[in-house]
Amino acid sequence: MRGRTGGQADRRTAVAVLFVVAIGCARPSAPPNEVTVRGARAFEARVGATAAAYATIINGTDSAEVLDSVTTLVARFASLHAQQEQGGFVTMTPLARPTIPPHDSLVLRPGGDHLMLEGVDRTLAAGDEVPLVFWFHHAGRIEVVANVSAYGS
Amino acid sequence: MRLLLGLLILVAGCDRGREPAPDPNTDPYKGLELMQAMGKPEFTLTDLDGRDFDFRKETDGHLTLLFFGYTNCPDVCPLHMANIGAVLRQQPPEVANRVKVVFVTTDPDRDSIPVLKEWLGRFSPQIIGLTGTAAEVSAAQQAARQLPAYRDTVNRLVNGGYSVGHAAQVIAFTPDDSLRVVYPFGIRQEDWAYDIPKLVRIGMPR
Repeated sequence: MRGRTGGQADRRTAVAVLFVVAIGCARPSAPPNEVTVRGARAFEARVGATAAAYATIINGTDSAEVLDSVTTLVARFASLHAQQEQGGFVTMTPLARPTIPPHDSLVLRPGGDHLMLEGVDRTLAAGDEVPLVFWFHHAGRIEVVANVSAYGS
Repeated sequence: MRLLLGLLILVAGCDRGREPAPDPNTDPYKGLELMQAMGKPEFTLTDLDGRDFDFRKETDGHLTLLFFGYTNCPDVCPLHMANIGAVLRQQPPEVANRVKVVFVTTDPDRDSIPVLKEWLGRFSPQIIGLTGTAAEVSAAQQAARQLPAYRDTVNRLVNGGYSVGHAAQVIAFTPDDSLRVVYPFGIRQEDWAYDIPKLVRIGMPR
């Protein structure tokens, strides 16, 4: 009798777990009507040098968003750069206040657009965490933590 | 029992989908192979001990990976160097000792010898750093048939500094002194690990 009751309880638990998992899976990748910054990371750099940093900025809202600036406490400047490769030749230009269209994203990645944390005040080594603040025209301030990794790791 | 049967089917399915192991003698390179091999350039620059480095003579008989870049480069240059360094560490000595990696700075004003030593030392002691005057570096790039790098003083960076436009690929000369394969940015460590042991054998007595 006890075994049967236990079995029913297990089944109920399993159904509940499945339900929770299903809800988790059904959730869209970006919360609706929000600006989010995901996957922030940076490469190692010695004190005083420049560290490259990356993140994906998702504009889940119905209106265009502008990334006004990025700041950090660990470097003198944080600047955005566009990097293009054309015909095997790579060039870099400042990226001033990029606009992210509604329901679109700005992907910062190695070899492409990126952040440069210029003049880091301490050596950033693999495993360190770096706070970054993204300032948006509409969404305001979004703070994230970038994980530091070694080049080629 | 049913679970066991399901797992067995799953494992069998995975095994069936596996591709046969590649044959290094017949499979193409992971890098971009040139339609026609080109010769090795002749140029002399200064190494990090301040001595003349005759590129052709010093790299003779080795697989030579040549890259033109600069140390303030955010990711293309350090990722190339780090990936090559990591792969060379995994190679047996009979392969690694037949490879020379040459990094020529395209920003000799900022990349002093101590800066180059520190920066390259992070990736591999096997990387040879070279510098020279702007004219010498430019001549070396032309000799290697690479688009010459340039200092971008128009699009100033926020800190007032400048970036350097440069070729994004590593070029590979096989031990018979031929440029055969180029490696664009985005090439992975596993690609290097696949190609390097093949490339070191070209032109070598068997």
